Amino acid sequence: MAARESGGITSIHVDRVIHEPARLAIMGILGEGYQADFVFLKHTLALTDGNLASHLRTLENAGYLEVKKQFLGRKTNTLYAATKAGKEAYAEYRKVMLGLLLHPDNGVDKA
Amino acid sequence: MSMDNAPQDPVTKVVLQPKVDLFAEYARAASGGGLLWTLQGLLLVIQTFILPLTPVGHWWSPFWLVPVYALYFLVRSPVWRRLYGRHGRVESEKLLQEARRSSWRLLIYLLPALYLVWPNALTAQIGAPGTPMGISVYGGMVWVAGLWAIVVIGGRLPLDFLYFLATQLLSVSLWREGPTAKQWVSGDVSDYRLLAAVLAFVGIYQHWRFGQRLRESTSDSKPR
Repeated sequence: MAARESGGITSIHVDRVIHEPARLAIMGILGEGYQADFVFLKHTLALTDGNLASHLRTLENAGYLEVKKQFLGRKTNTLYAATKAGKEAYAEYRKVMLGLLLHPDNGVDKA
Repeated sequence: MSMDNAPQDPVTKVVLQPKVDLFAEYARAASGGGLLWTLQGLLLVIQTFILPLTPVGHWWSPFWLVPVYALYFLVRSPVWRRLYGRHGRVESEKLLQEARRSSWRLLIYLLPALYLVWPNALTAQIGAPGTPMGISVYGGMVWVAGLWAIVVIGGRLPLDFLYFLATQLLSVSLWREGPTAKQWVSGDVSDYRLLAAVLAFVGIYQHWRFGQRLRESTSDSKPR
C-alpha cells in the first residue's frame, strides 16, 4: 500500500483528493454516513462560499460526493452525501495515514 | 478495510462530531425538539381554556380544536428554521433509522391504548356505562392512528405525534355529542395543565442545552 518510488525519492501513496485539509474535513463529516447542506459545512469548517464550492466540486468530480436536492417548505435545500466510492476512499485514506503514524517504518524505504 | 472496523479519525471525532451529532439530532427532532416542546405545552394550555367553550351538539363540534392544530403546523417549521436551522442542516442515516424504529415502537403503545383505554375512559367520563360508542369516536381513533402513519412514512418529528395524541386524549370525548360531553369539558383539566408545564420545561431545558452545546462545538476561526 503505502510507499512507492518516485525518481529516487520515496513518496507515500495517499489520495490527494482527500489529503487537502478542507476536503479531509468534509469527508470526515460525510464519510461517516451523514448528509449535510452547504450552510452547515460553511459554518462548521469556517470556509468562504467560493472556497467550499470549489472543494465540493473537486470531491464531486472524483465521484466521492453526490448531491441530493429536497424541498423544505417552498425552498430547495441541497444536501451533500458521500458515495460508496467516497466512503471507501476515505476509509482507505485513514488506513494509510494511521498505518504511517503508528508504524512509520512499514512500507517506507529509507533511500 | 470495512467502514465498521475503521478507527475513527480523532480530529473528526473530537472537533467536528459533537456539532454534527447536535444538528442531526435536531434535524429529525427525534429527541431534540427544543422550544417546539414548549410551543406544544402552550397550545395544550390554550386548549384547556377553549375546550369548555365548545358548542357541543353540532356536526362541526369535533372540529373545534382544528385551528389549534393549524396554528401548530403554521408555526412549527418557521420556529425550527429560525432556532435550529440557521447554521445549516445535517441528516444522519443512522438517526433516520432510529426515528423510524421509535415510531414503530409508538405503535406498540398506541394500539392497546386505542383498543382498551379510550373506550373505558370515555365511558367513565361520560358516566353512561353500556352506552354504545358513537361512530365519531372511532373516527377520532382513525384520525390519531393516521397521524402516527404520517410520522412513520415521513420518518421525522415523532414528537408531533405525541402532541397530537395528548391533544386527542383531551378532546376525544367531544366526538360524542350530547350534554354529558358538556359536563366533561367543564370538568377538571389540571392533569393536562401539568403535562403542558412539563412539556414547556423540557423545551426550555433542551433549548438551553442546544445553545450550550453549540457554543462548545463552534470553532472561533474566521472564514478562510
